[in-house]
Amino acid sequence: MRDTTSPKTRVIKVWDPVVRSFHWLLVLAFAGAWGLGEWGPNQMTWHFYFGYVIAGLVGVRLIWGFVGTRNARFTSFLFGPGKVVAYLRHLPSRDPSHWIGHNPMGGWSVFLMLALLIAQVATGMMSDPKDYINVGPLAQYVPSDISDLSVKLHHILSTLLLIVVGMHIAAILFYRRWKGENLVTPMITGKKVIEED
Amino acid sequence: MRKTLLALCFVLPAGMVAAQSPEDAVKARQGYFDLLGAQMAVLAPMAQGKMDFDAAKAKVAADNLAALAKVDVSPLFVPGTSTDDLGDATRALPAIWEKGDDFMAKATAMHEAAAAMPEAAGSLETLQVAVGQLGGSCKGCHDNFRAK
Ligand code: HEM
Ligand code: HEM
Repeated sequence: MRDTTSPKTRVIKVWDPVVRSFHWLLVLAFAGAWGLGEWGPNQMTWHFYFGYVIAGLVGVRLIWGFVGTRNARFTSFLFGPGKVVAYLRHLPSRDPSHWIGHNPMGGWSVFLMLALLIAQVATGMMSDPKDYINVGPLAQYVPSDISDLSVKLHHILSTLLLIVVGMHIAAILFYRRWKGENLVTPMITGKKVIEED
Repeated sequence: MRKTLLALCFVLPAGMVAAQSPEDAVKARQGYFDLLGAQMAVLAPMAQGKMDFDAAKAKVAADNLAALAKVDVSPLFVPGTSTDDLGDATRALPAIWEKGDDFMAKATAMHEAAAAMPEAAGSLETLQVAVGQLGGSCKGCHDNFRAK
């Protein structure tokens, strides 16, 4: 790609410790909740615990989205359709984006994932699968058609989340392989190397 | 015990009449699961501390469960009464008939867990373990054989 002049680079802090801890704890908790939900023991106590951990993580992230560091704030990655389209035009080019923070496309995927996670937790808490032991703590406070529906939605959402997370990981791989941009290291160390222009 | 007798009156004749309509078979087996549920609705809140442990009440419900588990409801699972045939009228998936052995194994797990109830109902500690096992056997079957 770039061969003649080696451009000046600069190291920038992109992700604060809250965002990074949130992310990797979420990865672990999501794998745990999903695996236990699908293949875990019939007594789902641990599935519930993992679900509550995710609820807590997402809760912290929501607050951090308003009071956190710049790139963590929702307003910093909430882009209108114009910006998104403009960004998508450049997407196929084989150059790193050098974007600082979530880009317009990635920003929407973050909102989507957070929304799905909230819905997943909410439907889980309202589920009454009629086995008398794996009953969500909120099921008793909602009408029974809602607690029935929650079981169905929880199941559908779990598949949807798996697909969306798969696309999330595919997108990260695409940046790595196609655009030659490593997004994972910044999510681990907090630091990103970008080109000076 | 009254409930058990009621259950038997309800389920046995339905099971014995072979030439019943598919709708009747569905209603009868749903009634059977409702009766199981009614006993669990007494025991589960006690096990989970939402209701005070009452040894006498627990014993009745546990005995009922053990008795219900002895009832052979397989005649109610008439071919042609799955969700494929009857739509929303039932949640019994075709897998029940396609994987009969697995379905029977799940039913047996429930029968065994239910048979252990009367002995476990004597103390809260043993009841908690037994309710967990029995409830787990409900889920074990629902996962693959009951529509979401
Ligand atoms: C091992 C697999 C994963 C990798 C390599 C990975 C990688 C990344 C990277 C590099 C980012 C930053 C993207 C950017 O630069 O804009 C990110 C953000 C994010 N990822 Fe993942 N991810 C993985 C799994 C997951 C899973 C399983 C979930 C959800 C269940 C998830 C949810 C998120 C969320 C919500 C963000 C936004 C973080 C924030 O702003 O707080 N990720 N991921
Ligand atoms: C983001 C967090 C969560 C994820 C990823 C998740 C995932 C799953 C998955 C994959 C299943 C199996 C679905 C199926 O095959 O039908 C499941 C089942 C279930 N989950 Fe969750 N879950 C989460 C949170 C929760 C929470 C917080 C609760 C309750 C407090 C909960 C309660 C349940 C129950 C009761 C079932 C069994 C439903 C049934 O028997 O049909 N989940 N979950």
